[in-house]
Order: sequence, then C-alpha cells, then structure tokens
Amino acid sequence: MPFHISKVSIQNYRNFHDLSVDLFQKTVLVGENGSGKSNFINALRLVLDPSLPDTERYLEERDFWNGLSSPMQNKKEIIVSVEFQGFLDNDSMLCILGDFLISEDTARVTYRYFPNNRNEYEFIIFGGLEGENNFDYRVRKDIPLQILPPLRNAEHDLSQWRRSPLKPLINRFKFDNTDLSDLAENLNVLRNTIGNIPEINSLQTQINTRINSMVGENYSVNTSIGIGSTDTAKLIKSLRLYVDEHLTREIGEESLGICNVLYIALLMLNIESQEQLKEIVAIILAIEEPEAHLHPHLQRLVYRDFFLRTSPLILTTHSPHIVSVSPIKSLVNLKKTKSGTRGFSSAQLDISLQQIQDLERYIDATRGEIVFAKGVILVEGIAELYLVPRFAEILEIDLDASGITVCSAHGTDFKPYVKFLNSLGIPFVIITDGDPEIQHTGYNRCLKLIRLTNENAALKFEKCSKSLQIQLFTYYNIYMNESTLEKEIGTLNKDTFLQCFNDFGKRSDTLTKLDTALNTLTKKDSVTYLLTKIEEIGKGRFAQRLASYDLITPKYISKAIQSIVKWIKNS
Amino acid sequence: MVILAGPGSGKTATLTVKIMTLLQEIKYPQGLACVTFNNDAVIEFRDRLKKMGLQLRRNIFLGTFHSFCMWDLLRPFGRIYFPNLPFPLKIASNEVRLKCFKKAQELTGYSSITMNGMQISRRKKCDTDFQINKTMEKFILCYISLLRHLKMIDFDDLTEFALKLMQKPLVQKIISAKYPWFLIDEYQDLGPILHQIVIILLTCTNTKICAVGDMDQSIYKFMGADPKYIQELSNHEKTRTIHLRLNYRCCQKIIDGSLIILQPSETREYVSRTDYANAGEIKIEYKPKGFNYQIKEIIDNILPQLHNLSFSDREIALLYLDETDAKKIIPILNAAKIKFQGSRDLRYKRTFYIRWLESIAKWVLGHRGGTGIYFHELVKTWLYLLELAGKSINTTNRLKEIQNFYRVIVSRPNLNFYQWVESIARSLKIISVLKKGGQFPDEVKAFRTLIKQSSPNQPLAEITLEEFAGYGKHSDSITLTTLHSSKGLEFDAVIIPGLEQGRLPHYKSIDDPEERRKFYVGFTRPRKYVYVLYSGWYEAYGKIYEKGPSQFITELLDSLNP
Repeated sequence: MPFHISKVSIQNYRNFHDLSVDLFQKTVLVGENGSGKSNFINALRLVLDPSLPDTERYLEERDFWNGLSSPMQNKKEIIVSVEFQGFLDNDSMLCILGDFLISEDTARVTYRYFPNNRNEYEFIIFGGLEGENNFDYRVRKDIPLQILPPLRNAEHDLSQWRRSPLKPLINRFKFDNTDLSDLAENLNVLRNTIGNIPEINSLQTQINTRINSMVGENYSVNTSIGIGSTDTAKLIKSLRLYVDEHLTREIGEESLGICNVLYIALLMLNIESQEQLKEIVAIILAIEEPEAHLHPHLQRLVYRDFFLRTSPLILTTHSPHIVSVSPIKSLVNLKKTKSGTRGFSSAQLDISLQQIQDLERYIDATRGEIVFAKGVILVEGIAELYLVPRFAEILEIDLDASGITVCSAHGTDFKPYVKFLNSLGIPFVIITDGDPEIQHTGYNRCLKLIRLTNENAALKFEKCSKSLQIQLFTYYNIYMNESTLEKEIGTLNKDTFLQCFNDFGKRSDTLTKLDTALNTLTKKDSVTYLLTKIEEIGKGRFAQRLASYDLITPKYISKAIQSIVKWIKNS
Repeated sequence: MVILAGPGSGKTATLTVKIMTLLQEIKYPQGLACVTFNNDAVIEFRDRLKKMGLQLRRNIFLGTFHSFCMWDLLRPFGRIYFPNLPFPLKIASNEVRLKCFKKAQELTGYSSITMNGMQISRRKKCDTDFQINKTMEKFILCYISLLRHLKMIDFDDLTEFALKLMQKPLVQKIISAKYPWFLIDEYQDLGPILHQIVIILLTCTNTKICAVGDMDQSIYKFMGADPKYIQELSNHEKTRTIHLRLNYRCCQKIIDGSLIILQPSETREYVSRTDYANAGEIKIEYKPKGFNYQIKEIIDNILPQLHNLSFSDREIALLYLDETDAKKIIPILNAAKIKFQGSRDLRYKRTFYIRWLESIAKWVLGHRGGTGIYFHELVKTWLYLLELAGKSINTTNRLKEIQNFYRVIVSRPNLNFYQWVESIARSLKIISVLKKGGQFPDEVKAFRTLIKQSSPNQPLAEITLEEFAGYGKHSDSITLTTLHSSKGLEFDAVIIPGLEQGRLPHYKSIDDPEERRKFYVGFTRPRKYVYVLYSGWYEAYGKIYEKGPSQFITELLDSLNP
C-alpha cells in the first residue's frame, strides 16, 4: 500500500478519552454530530499541521476530555500519536521518516502535552518510540497535513488575488520583465484611448473639481478613470479566471456549485504541482464536510477523483453520496459513548477482493445507507426487504425513526456484511432461514458466522439439539426459523396468503390446492407446492402484496426487531 | 572512491571541495555524511565548509564516526532492535569504565588483563585475522554486565551495536536513502568495526563511498587501527583509487628523508610542489649528554638559529613521545621562559564544549563582530544541550532561553578568567545540563577541571580570558605536542628530540612498521626545517639504557652521507 497514516491514537483530548483507530490509505470519517469528527482532524493538526502556530498547541483545561475532573490539577496528559506506513520504497520519505521508526515498517510521531517539573504545561512533538527525537517545524513542512478550507467562500476567494488559489499557480512562473513591460505599454495606449473618450474625460474633470471644492487644494487628490494598472507586477495580480473561453463570464455569475468545483480543482492543481516539483515529500490532505454546496452528482464525481489520488486523504462527511463512492476499507465510524468517543474502522477488514467489490457495489447502489444506520437488520432477500418493515409497523416500531436499515444480502452469504458492520461498530441482527432440506443448512451457516467471533462457542453449539441451537443463536444476534420464511409466515397467515393469491388472479382450483397445502405445511410436498406457486408470481412481488395486509408476525422476526431496537436504545 | 594522499597533499581541502560539489547535486531531503576521526577535524571541517557557504541542514552529517553511530544508528534504531539496552543511552565516563574494569578483575580473578588489552580485543573481534581467547571473552562479558548494571554503555559498545544495526537491511535502506554519499577522512585511523560499517555501505547499499587516507600515517594501532583496512578498501572491486602524490607542504629534502625512514614496500613518488622545494634542511644533531641536555640545546642554540632564519615561534613545533617526556620538557621550558602551547592545550582539556566556551570568550572579547563566530551558532549549541538535558524547546520558551543565554554571556567580561568561567557555568548551570544530557561524562569532568584549575593558586590561575579565547600570547609561543597529535598539523620547522634506539623504535616493538610511521608523521610536519636530536642513550624508570641512536637515525645518516 502507498504512503498513508496507518493508525491514530488520542488520549484525553476533547471528545476522546482513549481512542485508537487503524486507518486505510484513505479515511472517510462518519459519525453523528458531536461525535468528534472535527476534533479528530484537530488532533492530527496538533501533530502534523505546519500552518498551526505553536501557541495553538498550548491547550487549555477545556481541551481535556470532559470525563476528567480538574485534569490540569491532576497532571493529566494529552497525547496524540500518528503512525505511518508505506514509505519504505520512497527514498525521500525514508530520509525523513527513517528517523522515527517504531518497528520495521511503521513510523510514529507523537504530540504530548504534559506538566513539566515546574508544573507548567508544555508540549513536545517527537518521532519514534521515545521523546529524544524531535519532530520539528521543518519536518512538519516536509510531510504537511494540509486542510482544504471550507468551500463556503469559494466565490469570494476566487475573485480576490490575495486569497485566490490561482495566485500560487501563477507565482510559480518567472515572467520575463521585458515581455511584461511591452504588454504594459500596449495596455497604456488602450488606457489613454479610453480616458480620451470625451464623456469619460469630462467626468474625470467633474470629479476632480468636486473634490477640490470640498477639501481645498491642499487635501485634494487628482483622480483618473481607466482600466487596470500598467505596473508590471500589478499586471500579473490583475489576472482573473473567467468561466467561458471568451473572457466575459465572471466567476460571480456562475453557480455556487461550479465555483466550488473550480476552487477545488485549482487547489488540487497547486498541491499536485508542489508534489511534482518535490517541494514537499508527501502531503496529507484533510477535508471537512466537503459536501457543502456541492450537488450530489458532483460530490460523487469530485470525490471519486479524490479517491483515485495516491496521496493520503482524510475527510469527514455526513454525505451518503461521498460514502457511496468511498473505498470500503476507508470508513471510520466515530461513536459517542460514556467513556469518550470510540472509533471503529474498516481498515483491517479481512475479506476477499471479490467480497470487497461486491460490498462496495452494494454501498454505492444504496448510497451508503448502512454506514449511517444506527442499527441494521440483515436479511436474505427481497421478500424480507418488504416484509420486515411491515412487521415492524405492525409491532408499532418506526424503523426510520430508530435509524434502522434493513439490508438484504441477496442470498445467505452474510459474512462480508457481518465483518464490515462489526468493524464499524454498527449493531445488527440477522434474520435467516433454517433451510433443513438443502446441503448447507441454516444451522451450519449460522455456526460459521458465530465461529468468526467465538470459535469455542461454535464448537459447543454444534453438539446441541437443533431447537436449542436456534435459541442459542439469538445470543449472537442471529434469528433463524426452522425452515423458510414463506412457510413461517404462511402457517400464521393462511387466509391472507389465499387472499394474495386471489389478488394475483389464481384460478379457484389452484386456490383450493393452495388452501390444502397451507393447512398441511408440516408436509414437505405442501411447502414445495406453496413455494412453486409463489415463485410463479415472484417472491418479491408476492411479499410486496402481502405487506399491504394485516399480518401475524412470526415470533423469531418480532424478537429480532425488538432486540435491535433495544440494543440501539441502550448504546 | 579511495583517495590515497601523502603528507601535505591537501586531503582536507580535497574533501571539502568534494562535499561542496556533491551538495550542488544532492537535493533535500537527501544529503551526505562526512565522518572524521576526532573532534578537532570536525571543527576544522565545519569552519572550512562554512567559509565556502555551506548551510547545514537535515541529513547533512559532519561529525565523528562515533557520533554518527550514536545519532544515525543507535538513536533511531536502537530501541527497535535492542529493546533491552538502557535507553536513553548514557555513555560511561573513563572513571566509571575503570571502576567496572577493576571490579571485573576482582570478580574474575584475571588480574593480568589490561584495559587496553580488553579494548583491543573488543575492537578487533570482528577482524577475521584476530583470535580472541576464552579468558578474555569471559572477562569482557563480566565487564559489560557490570556496565549494564549501571545502565550505561561505552564507546566500544556504541560501535559494536552500530555495526549490528548496519547489518539490518532496513537500516541499510534508510541510511543509503539519507546519505547517497558517505565520505570518510583519515581512513587509516579506522578500526575494524567502523571499517566493516563502510564495507557494508559499499557492498549492500547504493551509497557511494569517498574515503581519504594515507596508510603511511596509520599510528593508532593501540586503538585498533590498521593500515590494512584502507588497503582492503582500495583493493575492493567496487572502488577505484586515486593517488595524490604532490606535496604542497614539505621541501624535497624532507620528503626524501621521510621516505628513508618509512621504507615503504612500494615507491611513493612524492614530489614537492612548493616555492621552496629545493630549500630547507634536515639537521641531525648528536648531543651526547642525554634528553634533558637536548632540550637545553634546543633552547640555547636551535631556537635562536630558527629565529635568525626569521621563523616566528608559532611556526615552530617541538614533538615528543609521551607524557613522561612532557614532564621533563615543560619545567625546562618554563625555567627558560619559553612560551609554548599544546596543539591540544596541555593546561586544560579542549573537549567539544570547552571549545564552545572558548568561542563564547572569543565572541565576547571580539565585540561580537569580525571573529567569524556568530551568536546564533553559540546559542544553537546551547539550546541543543538543553534539549538533550530533557528540556523541550518551543516557540514560547525558546526566546526566553536565548535571552537568558545572551544576558549571561555578555555580562561582566571584565572579570578575571576564573570569575568569568565560574559565573557562566553557575548562571547557565552548564554542569548539571551536561550531566542530564547523559552523553558527556568527559565534558562534565573537563568543565569541573577547568574551573578548579583556574581558581586561585591553581596551575591555570594566571590564564586570562584573552588567552583562553586564543588572542594575544598564544601567537608567540611554540607548539609542544606528541608525535601522535601532530598529525594533520604543519609548521615551518619541527624539532624532535630523544631519538634513541629503544625509545623510537620502542624496545618492545623494534620491527613494528608502526614505529616507522610514527616518526614519519612527525618528520613530515615541517615545511622547511626538521631537527632530530639523539644522545645514544636514555633513561627510563630510573635506569640507563645505552643502545645507541635510533636505527632510523642511522639509516638517515647512511643515506645522506653514503
């Protein structure tokens, strides 16, 4: 993997009591308001930002985690450490980070705010394992953390030379002064021409006379009206960006969205040219809530481009559109808890490349919904996708209000989802079928899932009776029926099923047969017949219809729903 | 690249030009390392390079090989590969080492082992030609464990661990990334461990080596050096050798004479490239009345002769063998009111930080200008010391520390030397800062000694601040130094007394070529005149030895008057 921040640990700083998260090459920080996304970036700035003045590194009592009582009196320390990996094949980075190793492939830089022996608080920033190796301003400049400023003022900044991202790009060139003075000469001719237009000329005289009569000759100034300065230095500064090829449409006339895109493009161009010219060894880009004022489609386009860059990137976002295009391992979920904000990261997600691709596609298609969910109900397919929310409604539970998303694995391979949700610390329950008839029964699949977290438990469960296993699975948030969803619901809702088949226009002889089948669902043949008939309509279509009726909820489903709701409430 | 350079061929100049040229090409953050063997050379290098406009920055290393081992190997990688070492590393002072050594003698019962013997064994361990015996191995283990018990390491540990680190591929990778060029001055002084480090750089990394040295001037056998190492490097398939044969110092007569003493196995073809190539003289003086009489002769006849030739005292050096000689010479010079100075000042030890104190004195007296010494450099050294002592220097307290340092050093330069040095040391708490830094036991001692020696009725009570700063009296005194320490220096005239068989060559190592090299080094210091004196007998430990003149003198006489 190329150069990146591989781990961040924060102690006693603002939201964080004792945080430690693994990071991927790119980091997308999500989490509800107040969970500490901005403070995470601030913590990084303490260590890495060369533009942060040292006075800002002297913290105050209120910068300590608020779970500490009188932290400064009790000599508490604030520690932020950042670990890097992926620099071993780059000589320039080795030159810098080689001094700060903590193991054969990892370098670490630490900010420490502590009381000295005179009991005054001071800070040090050091590299490596212990504090002998100073990480000074010069090194911070070599591997800078650059914060992309918020986009709110893009239009204003673009129109002012001093703040314009165009300025550093143009200043890179060394202009030939004689060329410029020729230009200035030409401009001067034009200027005089305009000044000589009789109307302009007379206005000029009027202004000067008026000033003179107001303040007298001593205080008066002589004004003139013209276009642009002919001073060669000022000539460059008067360069502006226009948003069409005829130099007529000014920035202010363009929509905010386009302004922002322009602004980001110029900033990135500047960073990239700095990288190319090797003015900096490596740049770490941090962006806070970049979605502001960007149209959803632009968000996806702009950040897809960002994620393709090789340099490390850290951004905080509430935008599903950005999350939906994020690499799956880049997500970090910050969650408020009583003992400070905890961080959950998918960086170490142990799933195959194919599974990564599938998961990324799922998240893209669902606009990152599960990442923002407070809880997830994992189900097998489309039928549950229609029915589970309906059952919740019948139980008088509002899934949306509780922040619960129903997510279909489109099959029975829950493993990548389970690993992903576990890594991000998102609570979830699984609703699945026992499928005793097929080779990989639900029992086996569930045992495999449990093995992911507890090998021993899985081995013990294996020896229990089937009915006991089903009960035991619930301790691992798996709610399984004994056979299939349709059989479970059908048994409880015979009449509604018949009504649905009727809705789809099934002939009366078929309905009779279905009635018999529904009454004898303990028989294999009956279940098979029922399923064939449902599949003729389509499982999803049937479930969709079913959901419009009042239904009796199978116990395992209501338990699953109640359990996830309770879980979220308690956390 | 190996540059084999004879005496007076401009080794240091060559190296400085090479460094400046390389730094035109090497771009930040990469740099280069230039290591030398002692602090004197480091200071000279820095001064020269500074004059040529070099700005020190990250990854430009100019220092001793030992400090390279410390700062570039042990400090960044030690904790990773040797987690059991006592970090932060403290280097044992000579006293501590001696204490551990004696305790080890006591514990093992091996009383015949000497400190020097132990050091040589430790240094030579990695030389395949060297056989270490079991007793010694046991003894060393005991000594080391005693040292570790005190949570300290010594200089031999430092190089040993540095070599072990250098064998790690990751370390090689990082060092060669930082330093695409590695330059070594005085290669002939390297011991086997440091030589191994260079060989690893040469064979396992992309770092290019530039070594400058002269195997004929290898005179540090007692520290583990051996001319065969530079030979080996020069013969290595990955190096190419350049010979510098022009001598810009000595007249031809001295060059020819020196080669008779040296008796090299291959001809050297050294040529004098001076305005006075055909001038100059080798004077061999037979003074039968013994060593002390030779010194009187020097005072009564030789120095006046040299003055007649209009050589000033500071261009004259008197070279001797060892401390015993110095003890005989100094009272005679003092009695005759001959002013002298040691190249390493004999009156106090000029360690790195004592020199820094000298620079402070010079800056204070020089009214802060025209001395080539800048306040920002003085204060940088100080802030660095403070950091080492565990004080974190940041924007806010940085200014405070600088102001404090300024106030202390500019205050009251009109005090006498003792008051001055005492007040500076007290106000800045120099000794406690050095102690906390942990790496300067010898510096602590040097400061303590300096203060003590300059107090009333002590040997240095008469020294003035001007003298300490290197102004005034220094310029009209002759140089008194050992043959060993004369390496790298040059004078118009050099006087070497006491050339008796048994003294030089030493009776224990009559056939050791190093004895020839030692004399050769002293003999090639002068530009124009060299005086050698002998009596044919000498006194040592209360006994008279009559073994005739040194064989080198006989050889010289034979070739000069065939």
